[in-house]
Amino acid sequence: MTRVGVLAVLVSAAAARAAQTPTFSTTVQAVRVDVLVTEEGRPVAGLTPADFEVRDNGVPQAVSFVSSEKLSLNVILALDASESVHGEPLEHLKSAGRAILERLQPGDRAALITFSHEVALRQPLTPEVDRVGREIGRIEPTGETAVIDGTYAAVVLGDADVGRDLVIVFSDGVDTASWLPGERVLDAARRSDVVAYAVSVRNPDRPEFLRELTRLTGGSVLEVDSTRDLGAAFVRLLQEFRQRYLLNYSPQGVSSEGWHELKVAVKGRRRATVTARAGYAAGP
Amino acid sequence: VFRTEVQHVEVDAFVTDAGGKAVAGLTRDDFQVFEEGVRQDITVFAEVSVPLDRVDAAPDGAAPLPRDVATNDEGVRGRLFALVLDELHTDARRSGDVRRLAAQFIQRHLARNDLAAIVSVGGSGTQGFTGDERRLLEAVERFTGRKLPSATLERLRTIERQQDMLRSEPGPGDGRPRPEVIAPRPGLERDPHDLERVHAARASMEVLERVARGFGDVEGRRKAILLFSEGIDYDTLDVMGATQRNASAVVAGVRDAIAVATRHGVAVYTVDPRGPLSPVGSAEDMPMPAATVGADFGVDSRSFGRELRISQDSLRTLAEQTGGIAFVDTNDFTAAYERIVRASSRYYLLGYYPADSRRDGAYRRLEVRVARRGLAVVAREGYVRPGPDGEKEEPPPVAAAAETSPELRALLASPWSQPGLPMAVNAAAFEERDGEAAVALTIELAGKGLSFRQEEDRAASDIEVSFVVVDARGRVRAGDRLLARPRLSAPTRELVGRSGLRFVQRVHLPPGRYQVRVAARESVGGQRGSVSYELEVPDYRAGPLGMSGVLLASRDASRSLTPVVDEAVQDLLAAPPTAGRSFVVGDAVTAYTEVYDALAPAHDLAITTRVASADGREVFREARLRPWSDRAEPGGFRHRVEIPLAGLGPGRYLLQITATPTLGEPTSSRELTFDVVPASPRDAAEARHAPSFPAGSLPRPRSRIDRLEAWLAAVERHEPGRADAAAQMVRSWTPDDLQDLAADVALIAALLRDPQYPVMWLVDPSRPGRPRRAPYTADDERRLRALASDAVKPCSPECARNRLLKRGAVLHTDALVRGAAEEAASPAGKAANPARFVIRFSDGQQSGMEEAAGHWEFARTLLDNVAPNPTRDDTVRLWYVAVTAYGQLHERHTRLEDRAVDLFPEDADLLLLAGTFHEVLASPRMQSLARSVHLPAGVSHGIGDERAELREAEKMYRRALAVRTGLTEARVRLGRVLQRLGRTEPAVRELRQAASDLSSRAAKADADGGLLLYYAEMFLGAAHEALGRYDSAKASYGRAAALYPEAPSPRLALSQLALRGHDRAQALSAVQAALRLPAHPGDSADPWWRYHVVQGRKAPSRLDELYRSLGP
Repeated sequence: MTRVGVLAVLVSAAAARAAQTPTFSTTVQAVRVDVLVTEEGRPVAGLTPADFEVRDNGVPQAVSFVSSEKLSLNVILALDASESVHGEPLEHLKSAGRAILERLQPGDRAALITFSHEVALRQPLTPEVDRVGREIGRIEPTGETAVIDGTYAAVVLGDADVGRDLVIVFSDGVDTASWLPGERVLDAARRSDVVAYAVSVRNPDRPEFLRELTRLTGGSVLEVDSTRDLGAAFVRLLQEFRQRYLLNYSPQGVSSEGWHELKVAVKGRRRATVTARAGYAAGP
Repeated sequence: VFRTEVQHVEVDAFVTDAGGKAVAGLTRDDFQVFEEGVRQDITVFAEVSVPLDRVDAAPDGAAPLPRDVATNDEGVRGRLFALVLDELHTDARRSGDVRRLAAQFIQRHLARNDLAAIVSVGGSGTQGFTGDERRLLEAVERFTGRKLPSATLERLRTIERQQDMLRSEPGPGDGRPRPEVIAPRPGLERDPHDLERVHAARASMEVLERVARGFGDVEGRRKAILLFSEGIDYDTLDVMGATQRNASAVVAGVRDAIAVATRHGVAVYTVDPRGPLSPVGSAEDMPMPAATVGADFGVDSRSFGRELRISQDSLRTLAEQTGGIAFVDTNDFTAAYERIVRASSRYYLLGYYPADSRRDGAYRRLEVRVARRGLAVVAREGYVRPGPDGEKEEPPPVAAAAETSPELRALLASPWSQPGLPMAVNAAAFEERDGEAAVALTIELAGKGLSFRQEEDRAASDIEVSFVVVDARGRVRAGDRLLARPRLSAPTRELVGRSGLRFVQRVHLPPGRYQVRVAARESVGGQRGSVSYELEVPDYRAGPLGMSGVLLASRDASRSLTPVVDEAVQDLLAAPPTAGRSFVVGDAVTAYTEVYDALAPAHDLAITTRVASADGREVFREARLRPWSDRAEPGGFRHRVEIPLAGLGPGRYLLQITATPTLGEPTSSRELTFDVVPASPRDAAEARHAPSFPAGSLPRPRSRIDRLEAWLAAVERHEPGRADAAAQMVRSWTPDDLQDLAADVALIAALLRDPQYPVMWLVDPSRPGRPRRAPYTADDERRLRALASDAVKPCSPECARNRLLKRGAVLHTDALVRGAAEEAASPAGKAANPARFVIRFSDGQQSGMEEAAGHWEFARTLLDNVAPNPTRDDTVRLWYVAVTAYGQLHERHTRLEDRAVDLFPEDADLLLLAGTFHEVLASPRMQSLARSVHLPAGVSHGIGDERAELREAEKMYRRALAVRTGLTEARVRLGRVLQRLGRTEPAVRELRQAASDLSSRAAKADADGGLLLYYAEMFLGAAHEALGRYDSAKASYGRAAALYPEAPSPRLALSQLALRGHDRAQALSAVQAALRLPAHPGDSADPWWRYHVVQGRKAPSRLDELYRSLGP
């Protein structure tokens, strides 16, 4: 398997989910793996379960398939409303947010979290995505940036809902005000089954937190040279999420506890890049 | 308004043009008044325009400000509106509509000076006249309609039942089919609810009548009743067209109500909540029974239409006859309300003496015409003449305290405040034993209303105060009469003139709603007045957590004269409470409240006191954690808190006291508003001008010596702590000006020490080794020497020199501090070669860079020259403490901390501030700034890397603690710094010790204790977590959450901790709690957001200390 990532920062990661189990602490009955397959940067369509090879702690698993089209999408926008996006960046952020909402399909839901030094849930998950759009219009930037606290809230809220959860964090600055330490929030994200993307303006002060967050959850950081690219970046990100494969299997021949390392590959496609989460934590 | 002796009739006429707009500018000649068709001479004519003091547009959904005092000093007198809610004639399904319509009127159409009352016909919710929107809305909320089912429908059902019954009865036995319709038994087709219907109609009309009568004595105010009703649908004719038995009772009821309303000049506006209706009514309202048998009994579909028409007509009649307007068949209630408000705000008052003035109790028809085309008049259509017995309506007697004068009895009979003698009243309920409450009643008579006669060398007066407490049913439950006969010396007379007279009483009442009516009069000027106060005494046994009313006292108010005071109340505050809610800038307010907490098991109670300005900015906060052992029986947790007003500018403020048991829900809170007012006209003018310095408003000095002279004068004129003209002037000077000035001032200082000092050379204080040749002419030199000898006048040369330097430093400090200005050069002038810069930043990013003005450096240079040794001088020390605290508080860093510590190495305050400065430099925001800032070549931002700054902070904190072990703030911060440096075990040790010190301080009502304890617990939580002690971490975060119930950070911490323990549900609910917490604008909700500035919180008092140290 060779890596030909056009999204320069894609790193292999893996996803896991204790599907149909109310809490994570009970025995794993089924594991969901969210997989992106790209070839020369383009998502690959038309694969079947038989094309995938999944190893759970090295043990090959029998994989079934959950079509991504049949799942509703939960898109949680976590948007930076701090002083540093004042002016043009915020206007572009707003139009980009609306652009992603326009491309949602019936049945999809969206929510809006904003963060300055304070995290606010502006709109809980709703199928009426227009409401999210209206809330975006009301954002007035002020204060410091608590991107870590804001991400944490988005991950926890996203994880609580059924469906495919996509968290998109937009921030152009580094954290200046969070209470929570970055590593604790990364740990929370690793345990959740959300996929987090980040949209970040290139910044000499590199957003390590966002990079690590997206790596651990199987998403990616979209860096834009100018804030003007945001609309296009959001749309590309959503398309990528829609073209994922959701694999499902019941773990066989592995322990029901502890950290499970996942390896996902596509048989017979040497040029494909497979992006999935690096593993999952099962049991207490 | 009717006078009983002389028959004089007054009519209010509301005139509109074709577009429905009120018409102004008509004259007496435009009107014609007819009584029984006979034209009358208009003897009284006035165009009345009530200024509408509209309530400030409150943001959508914002609650009105809570007031806890009532006054009768209301400026322009507004209108009186009685909202009569007729539940006996409102369908239960439309209860919500009535509530909404009434609320809409109250919220959008009442002006601030209007009073309104809610009267419900069935007694569900009643509220006496008040301007308090919240109370009105509460009463409206209790409304539930319970109109009887439609009479037509009931009759149809009766007929149906009757038919069924007849069919099932055994017939004559001949086997013939039964007829379709069987002849009714006499009387059975009647409405079974006939009697109830009559009763309901009479009850509604009697209430209307009573309300109209209640308006009777009020003069000079436009009075209106808004009747929310679906109308009286009693059909006075029965099915055969004959008059129903009880019809006369219903008709008489309506007639009487109209008579009383017209006699008192009360217009009745009727509002039909049904909105537009089709003649047959909606299917939902009046379902036609399947059988059509009713037609044979005179009941058919038209009967519903008739019923509807009757009900609407009753509303029209009531309105038209009384000069009101009927809003039936409409759903544009906003327009309706606008019309009511307009009609009550701009109208014409017409009066005449009727030619025929017999006192026969007869109804007289009235007609008002306007002799202009296109104008419409609304006026009452008649009145009832008084009867032969005079029909004088005495106010119902009130059981006021014995010996109460007749004048005060008359005032006490009225449910609303009467202006005259200005006064303010506050009543606060406290729990006593056995469910009874003790109510502290504070009555303050304004000094401006009191007159005195001279008795020898004393000012004398007799003042009578009487009060009654009336319950919801109008019964007097308590009352007393208080007498004061002050004989005052001249200074005391002066004091009373300024601050008035106060009476404090205590009454005992069971839970319930009351109206406290207080009336007072003074004997010399004969002034009298009254105040009505709406009091709710909560049932403290009803819930496990309750709070008493709030008493306020203030330093200034405690000086005013209190001839009658209840000792028990005074003891609570250590001063008599005040009913005034305007405090002068710089006053200190004490609040007292009690928290009754019966929750189990034993727990701590966090009590948070918060003051926010009108725009929501928090200006004061104090949190205390009270241990269970503090709880007294009775009295619960007694909470007394001092609120200094020193830092508060004039404006309106909200005080909120919240009690939160550490068990979690529920919480209890009290709110009230108060005003801060300027002390005097001069202060008021300065307060208005302080925040901004208009550029170039003072002429710039022409020469260097002129400038020095101007500066010396400014130093003398400047009042420390004020943004006066002197501060304004120096603020406008450029960095170059200041540099020259520093040299010139040094020269003056030298001349003060040695009058023979040669003026040939100038020493720039910042480069002492390199004197320059002075650019002065011989004339300049003479002036300089003269200025120096003038400057010496106040005291000895040594003291004059120090005085000049210190006052000069304070002048430039105030130029920045009191002007809320930044240390950036004014646009007026920049230096040719800037040597100092300031970086502007926000959210970790540079937002600009400017040349520094140099005021801090100038002031510091002056103080360096204080003799004999600046490091032994308290003013110099205080200056460093005040300006570094100020700079850190406002993030306008002076960077004077390290120098301050060099000068005063043993000063714990300065060591702490030096530590916090380095901790700030180590914060993510400043580290981010350091990485991203762009500076010109050779300029350095001077921010070390994170660990270097943390280690510097640690060093300073340790030094501070070595000097003063009890400086807990340094210990809390040391713990935080150690943890960030990865030394978790020592961090826990420091934080534990700090938390234990603070817990006892917080319990002892230390204002700072709660704040610092919050930080200590949060940091301790993080440290425990790092060590894997999750239970301890959880306990610490929980205590922090209890101290600041609105702070999200502890909730996020608890959530994250729950997730660590795989408890997703708990993690989610804690996040939801964090996001649901009420958002306050700014950073007031969570002390964590202020951690980088909070160390400067004492800057205002530090500055005050600095000013005081200068002496007179």
